Amino acid sequence: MTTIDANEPIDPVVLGRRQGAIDRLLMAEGAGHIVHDLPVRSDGRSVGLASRPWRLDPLPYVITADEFSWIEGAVTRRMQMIEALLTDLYGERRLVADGVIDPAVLWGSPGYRLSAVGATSRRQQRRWLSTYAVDLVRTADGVWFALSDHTDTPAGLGYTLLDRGVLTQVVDGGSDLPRPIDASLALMRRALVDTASVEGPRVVVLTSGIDHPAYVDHSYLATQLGFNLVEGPDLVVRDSQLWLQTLGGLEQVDVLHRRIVDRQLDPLETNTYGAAGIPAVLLADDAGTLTMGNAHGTGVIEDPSLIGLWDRAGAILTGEDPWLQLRSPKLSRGSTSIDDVLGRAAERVPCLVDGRIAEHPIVLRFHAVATDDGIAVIPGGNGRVIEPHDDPTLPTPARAKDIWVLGADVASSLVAEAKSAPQVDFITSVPTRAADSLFWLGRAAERAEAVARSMRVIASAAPMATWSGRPTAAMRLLAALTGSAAPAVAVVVRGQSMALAEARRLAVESASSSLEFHIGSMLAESASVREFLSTTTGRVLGEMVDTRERLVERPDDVDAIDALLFQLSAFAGLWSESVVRGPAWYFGDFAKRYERSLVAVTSADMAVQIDADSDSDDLTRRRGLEAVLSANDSLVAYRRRHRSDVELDAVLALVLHDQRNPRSGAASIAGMIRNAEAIGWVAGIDRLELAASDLAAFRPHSPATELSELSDRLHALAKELTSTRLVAPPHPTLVGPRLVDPGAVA
Amino acid sequence: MTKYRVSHRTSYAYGLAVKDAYSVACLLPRERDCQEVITSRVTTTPIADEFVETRDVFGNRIVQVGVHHGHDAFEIIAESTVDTQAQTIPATSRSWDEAAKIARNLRGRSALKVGPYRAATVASTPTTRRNLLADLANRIFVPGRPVIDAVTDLSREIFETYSFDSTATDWATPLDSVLEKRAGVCQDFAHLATAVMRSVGLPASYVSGYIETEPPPGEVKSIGADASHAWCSVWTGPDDQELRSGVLRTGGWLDLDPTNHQVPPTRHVTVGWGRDYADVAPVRGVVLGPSSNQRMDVAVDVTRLD
Repeated sequence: MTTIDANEPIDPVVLGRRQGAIDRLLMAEGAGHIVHDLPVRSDGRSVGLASRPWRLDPLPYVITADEFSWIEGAVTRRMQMIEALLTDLYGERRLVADGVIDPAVLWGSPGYRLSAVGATSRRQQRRWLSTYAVDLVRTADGVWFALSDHTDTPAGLGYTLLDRGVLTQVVDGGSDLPRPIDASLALMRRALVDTASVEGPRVVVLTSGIDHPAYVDHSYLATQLGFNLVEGPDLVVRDSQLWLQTLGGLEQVDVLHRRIVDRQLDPLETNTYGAAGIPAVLLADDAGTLTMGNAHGTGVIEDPSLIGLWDRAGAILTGEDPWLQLRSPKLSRGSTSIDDVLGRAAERVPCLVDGRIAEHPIVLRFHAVATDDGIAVIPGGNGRVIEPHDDPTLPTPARAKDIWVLGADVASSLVAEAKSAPQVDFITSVPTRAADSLFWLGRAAERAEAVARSMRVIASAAPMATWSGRPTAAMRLLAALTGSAAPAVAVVVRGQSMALAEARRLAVESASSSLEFHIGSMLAESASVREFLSTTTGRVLGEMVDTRERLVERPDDVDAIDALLFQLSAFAGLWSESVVRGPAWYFGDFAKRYERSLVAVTSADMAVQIDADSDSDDLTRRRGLEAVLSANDSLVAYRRRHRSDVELDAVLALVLHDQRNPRSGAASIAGMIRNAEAIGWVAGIDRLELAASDLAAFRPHSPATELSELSDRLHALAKELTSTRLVAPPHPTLVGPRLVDPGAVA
Repeated sequence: MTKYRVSHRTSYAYGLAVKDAYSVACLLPRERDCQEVITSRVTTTPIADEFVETRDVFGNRIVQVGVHHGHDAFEIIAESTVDTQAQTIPATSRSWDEAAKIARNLRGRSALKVGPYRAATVASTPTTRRNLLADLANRIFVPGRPVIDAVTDLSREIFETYSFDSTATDWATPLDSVLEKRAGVCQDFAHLATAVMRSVGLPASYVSGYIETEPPPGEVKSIGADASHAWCSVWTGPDDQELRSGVLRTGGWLDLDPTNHQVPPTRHVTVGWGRDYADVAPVRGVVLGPSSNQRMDVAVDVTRLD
């Protein structure tokens, strides 16, 4: 069955199966989940997001070739009209001089950026709009209206590509497949490159970060385009030029594909707080050393106080009536329901909602791209299903539809000519912030694993006939790994066999917030450096989100802990097998080995304490040492080598000294040294080697303080590496004014 | 003809060292009918790594400064000498409603020059106390009242019924609380006056500059005790000469200082004008660095030279 034959009955069961496949595929991209529930980042910014995974409807919205060629013409003309409006509003202002637009309204609009007046000549700016998106609605009687123009940071092309990639995998092939939209990436690249006058310009995609509601769109698009995804603090303006701060120093940026709106772009211009933008970026813009897609100032078109003027002003300016008329809920005085806004019934299309077919209105977003060769409209897009409670102007509706344009003909304008593409080696060019994120990602992954393993040892431990009430070795180790105080001695009342189980449950529960934190920072950090990780990583992380939820619900759920350990090992496998070795990887791997060395030292310390505990009998001591080995995932290795009861000497040999055990302290420090060599951190190598030989010299009867000293030294080394190489770029701060000082005024 | 020397020093102590700092300064006085600029310059400590002088969309002189090496303090000094003349009151007897109507119907270059000053901006728009603003406007702008008379009365009304209180507001206080407390500083009164005039359709600008002050009787004027100042300017329609010649040069602006009730002001030095404070803030800046306790210190001297 093809989805698009309206005459064919649609079977909800088939569609339901298809929905399941779509959900899984979106999750595999890490797209459905990665934007929500990211609690905290290493830099202390907390990211609290409402859960907003979107669902892609299994039925595409289908447009015939004829209808699309009308849309193509209409969208092209509307983009041209807006370009003409922007050129006039920031240039000659004929519309104001002729009394079409009241200057009081224009100059009273916060969207009208005064710093952009005169920009066309000052900036040597080729065009205002490089990209444009428009939301369209079709009425039941077949008339198209524009619902809103997107000119500031038109979003959604990334979603479109993502949705298309998923949907075409689940529908059965047939004669009526949609026109491909792959060419849109080449077009986008071309459009951005075309804004610059230099050959082979360096392009970056600027996002405000993972807390931006459209972060998935930004991240997916940047990865597909092959441009660095950067945040404000990655960039700095010096000598009226924009620079990217990378591990290798400052690299000049020529083109900014900004995903930050006009009024947040330059805190120096707006004199506002907030770290999203880049101070003085408009200085570089004005100096002509930087171009932006879209140009600064284009947001004025979206200003609610002005949108009602554009259709008429545009018609006067271009001398032709727009094909598409704007009908915005922001202009209608009464109800914002879509039928009332349009003044007639909107077309209803079938969608799968809760397993049933329901008919709902749909808002369709189309994208157009301007290059030196003209405007091209992408033959596809994303639709938002408007359910009764949804506001048609807000991008919140949770159900998306892929737009399919039929007809094999590819418009000639869609064949983008490849132009001197910027040749940047992304393996070596790593923004400092990305390296910082990878560092914290490596640490969080390793720590999460140690904590989870320890929790599992406790949660799955066998009941004991008698228990003194003293915390078990595993409980103490877990407390040490999570940095919390050692559990108190429990009061055991004779005959209450539940005391131990309760103590275990408490130990696991108190560790679980630490585990949640580490998984949370893994998710947050990896979301901000997706382009450095393999695609499959998205799926692993997506599943981790679910596991994390299960653990929040029930921290001692052994199945969930197992699932998490499984996901962590998948992550580790992808990290070592699927990520290209380069500075980014070395920093992340250094962090991983560092965290592991700390875990090994903590475990060894615990083993020494257990062995020295004179209050314990042999059996308790042995069990304690076994617990340490299990928590280290080294019990099997131990058994294979020793086939005997667990002894402290042998435990230390395995956990601390054995180079062949990848979890040992010695192997971990050796890994740190390898990575330090790879990134050229000469100052650290000698001291790491010294730490390695001191570790090797540790014996069961050495003073226990040697181990904690070793931890401190490793910590100091890691801190030195991050503070010298990964200085997290500072966020801009306003220099506060009370500028009009009234002191002496009469 | 009165000559003044003005020195305006703004010093920041950042508390902690920063690597990159950016400032935008609107400190260099511009020429106008009643003011000739003889010398003017801006200097900074440390010396700026980049220094760009431009004109903003209102024609004001803007200096953009960047420092890109470690420093924990920054000072920007503007020094100028200007020659000022007393402004004359436009010779017009037309009513304010007539002036507002002319303003609304301006076309061509005049629309571009005058029109922007009819715009209500955030700083000059009350949100919760619109009624207080409307009351004030209705009381003063009685239909048919001559425009010069009305705006002079507005200045008097603000001067007499609002108290000057530097603790009542700060630089970001909304107009609502100024209306509510009937108190504020020069900046608030300038915003209030432009808001009233714009609300009845008269183009009005916010003017930033300085005023010469007198020491208390028997005392010597202390150095650095002057201040930056703000007042406003209103467009009363084309003057009669323009009307006769048929060439609209958009004269007809009249400055008024509601803080001191001077129409037109005397002893004032103009730096620039815009729609409100934000357009002509003397110095604003951003530093990239750890947040810390910043300190800012401003010293202004206005000296009469004769």
